[in-house]
Amino acid sequence: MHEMSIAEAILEQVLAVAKDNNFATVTHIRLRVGELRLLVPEALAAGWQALCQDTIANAALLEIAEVPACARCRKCSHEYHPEWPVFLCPACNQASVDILAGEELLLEEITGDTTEATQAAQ
Amino acid sequence: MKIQVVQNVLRANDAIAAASREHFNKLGLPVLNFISAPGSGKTALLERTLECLKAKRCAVLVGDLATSRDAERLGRHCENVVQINTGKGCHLDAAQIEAGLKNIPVDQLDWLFIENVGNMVCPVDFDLGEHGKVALISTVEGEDKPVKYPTLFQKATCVVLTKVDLAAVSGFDRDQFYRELRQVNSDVPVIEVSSRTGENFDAWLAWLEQFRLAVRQP
Repeated sequence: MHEMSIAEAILEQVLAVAKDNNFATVTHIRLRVGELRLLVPEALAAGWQALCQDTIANAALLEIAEVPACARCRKCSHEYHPEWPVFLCPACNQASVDILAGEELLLEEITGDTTEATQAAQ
Repeated sequence: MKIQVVQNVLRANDAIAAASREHFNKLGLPVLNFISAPGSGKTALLERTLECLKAKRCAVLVGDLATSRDAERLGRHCENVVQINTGKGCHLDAAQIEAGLKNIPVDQLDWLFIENVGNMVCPVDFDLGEHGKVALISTVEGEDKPVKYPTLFQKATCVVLTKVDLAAVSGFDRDQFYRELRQVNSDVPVIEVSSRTGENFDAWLAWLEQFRLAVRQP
C-alpha cells in the first residue's frame, strides 16, 4: 500500500507549512490528484488517519480533488481523454500517448488557525 | 488562514531521483527498473542476463520486503549485488536507491539493474532515477495483465514476456495478450524469452545493448 508513503510525505509537508505560518491547528488540506495516479482515496485516508493522530493536523479534513486525464497522440497529435484502462486514440486508434494531465499529485492548499486565533476563540 | 502551496507531494523522492539520474547520465551508466508481479521471473531473467553479460561490469539493487534470497541468487553471477529490504514497504523509493549505491562502485559500471519489489502497482508511482522501466509478465500469469494493470504497461520502455517455454501448457492466449497490450501501448517492444532454456535471449541482449548505447550517446 504505497498510500502510506504518500500520506507520510503529505504530513511532512503539511507540518512544515504549518510551522512556517505559526499554525496551532490544521483544519483543511486540499490535494489535487490526477485520474491516472494509482491512488486509492480510502487507503490514503486510512494511512492519513493512522499518521496524523499526535499532530496538530489530527482533526484536519483531507479533501481530494481529481484532475481528469488528458493525452496527446504521438501519431496524429489528437488530444483526448483516455478511456482507462485503454489508451486508444479515438482519431487514429493507436495507443501512443504523451500524458498532458492526470498524473498530478499535488498538495494545493492548507488551511489552519494560528496560535493567536485559537487563543482568541477560547 | 489559507495557504496556497501547490507542491508535488513526492517532491522529496523526485528530487533524489533527478539527482541520481543526472549522476548516471554524467557517467553514461544505463539504469533499468524491472517491475512485475511476484513470481513472474525478474530474478531468473537477471540471473541469466548477468551470466550472458559476464564481459560487462554490472550491478544489481534488489528490493524485497524481507530475506536476502534474491541477492544470494544474483550474487552467484555478479559481485555487485545489494539487497534492499523494504520491511513492509511495497515499492523501492529513490532514497533507498541512493543509499544502496553507496555499496557499489557506480563509476566503474557498464550496467545498473534495479529489481523492484514484486508488485505491478505501487512501484510505478516512484521514480528511482532510472532511464527505463522493464515490465515483465509471465505466460503462466494470464494474458490479460496489460489491461488489468495498464499504467505499468503504458509507461514501460520494454515488455518482457517470460516463461515462454510454459506458454503451451498454461494455455497462454498470445493473440489476446498482444491485442490488449496494443490498446494500452502501441509502441512498446515486446521480447518473448525463457530464462530457463535461454530461448530468444539473443533478442533480449540485443535490445539491452541498443538501450545501453542510446544512454551512453544521447
